[in-house]
Amino acid sequence: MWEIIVGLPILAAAAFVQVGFFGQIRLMNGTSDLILLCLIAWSINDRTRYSWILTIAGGLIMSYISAMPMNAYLWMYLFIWIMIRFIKMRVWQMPLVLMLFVTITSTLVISVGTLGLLFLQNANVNYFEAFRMIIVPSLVMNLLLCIPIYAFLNDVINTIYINEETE
Amino acid sequence: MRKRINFKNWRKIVLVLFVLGIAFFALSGYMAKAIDRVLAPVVRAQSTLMERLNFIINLFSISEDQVALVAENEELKNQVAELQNRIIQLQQNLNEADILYALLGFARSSPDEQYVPAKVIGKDPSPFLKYILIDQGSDAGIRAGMPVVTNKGLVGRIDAVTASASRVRLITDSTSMINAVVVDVDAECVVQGSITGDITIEMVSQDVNLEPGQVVQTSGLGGDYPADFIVGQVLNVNQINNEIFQSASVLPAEDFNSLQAVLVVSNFSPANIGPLE
Repeated sequence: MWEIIVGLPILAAAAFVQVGFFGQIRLMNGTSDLILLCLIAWSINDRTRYSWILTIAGGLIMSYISAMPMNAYLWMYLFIWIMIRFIKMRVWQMPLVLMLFVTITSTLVISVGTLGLLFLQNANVNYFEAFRMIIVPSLVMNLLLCIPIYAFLNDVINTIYINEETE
Repeated sequence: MRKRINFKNWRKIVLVLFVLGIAFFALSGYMAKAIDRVLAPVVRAQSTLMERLNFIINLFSISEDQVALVAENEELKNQVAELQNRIIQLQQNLNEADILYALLGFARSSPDEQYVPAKVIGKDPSPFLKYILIDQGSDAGIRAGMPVVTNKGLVGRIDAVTASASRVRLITDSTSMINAVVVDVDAECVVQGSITGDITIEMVSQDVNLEPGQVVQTSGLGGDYPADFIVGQVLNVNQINNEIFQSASVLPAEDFNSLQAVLVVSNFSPANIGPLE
């Protein structure tokens, strides 16, 4: 229960910082996705039990803030959560390497998903430019941020569960 | 009877006269050199003694002074930091005031329109979408579809509204299309955004002589935007002979990366041409 109580304000704060601050910091046209990184770090940790609730919450927050149609963020985040569960159980056990791998994969999933939706909306999309100017820079920014976010949230999660175990 | 002279009295008288004489000489300045010679070693000794004494006193009292100095230094540092913060705050206020004055001047210059000023409070988290969030919503009379401008030109239109905030789709968004006109040559065109935030004018007839620097304004066709709002200037012309239309990249009038405040045109309702389509 503490996981949700602590996790929701962290997600809200991440959304606040994303919209107000990290949205302004751009590498070419790419930006980092703070909420995605928080959700990945949360889902990767073996101790967490309610990461799916936080994934839904993060998806709803992003769907509310962003102009992306059809609550796309919610579905994409849920897809990424399922992907993490699958990879964690069957393929990979090392959390830090998994964090890097999932960050790369998730950024690509979200980028492809968004481009697909924009294609459906008849948007003016140059795919090569999108790859060069948005996807690669966003990937770099996410990779730069994923390790500190992983370290921070890992500490938070460990603190929550150590407290629960001692109680 | 002869009185005997009392030598004791004489000694006293001589002593008094001697002292008075010395005093007279001293006061009249005749003995200054002699006094100096006598006093010089005494003064030197006194001075040396006082120096040593002061040194010893300072040795014990310096820590208190130092503490006082450190405290004073700390206080001064705090004051400097506070003043620097105040300067930064004032500079920010000044920047905001400049922007608001510019917007106010623009609003006054076109009294037919009603404007709602709003601050930009964020950007869409997706790097693929060009939307901004503003701090005014339906409580301030803002409705979806209203155009958003600054004193420099067109910014976009309201996409979604809550009670206290709104989301604005910028003209640079890849789904944005605006009917416009190249003013100098009176040629109609469509301004189209892109995924990277660049804007172009499309569907310009090949007969039109497009040149860099020509001004692009909204035409008002389609009823989505009011007419005569500046969009930008033609930057590079892309003319291919065997194509039906020519296009050109456009330099937006507004710098969307540093947008801080906007005006929502609140007395404009977009025309609903749905039934005619």
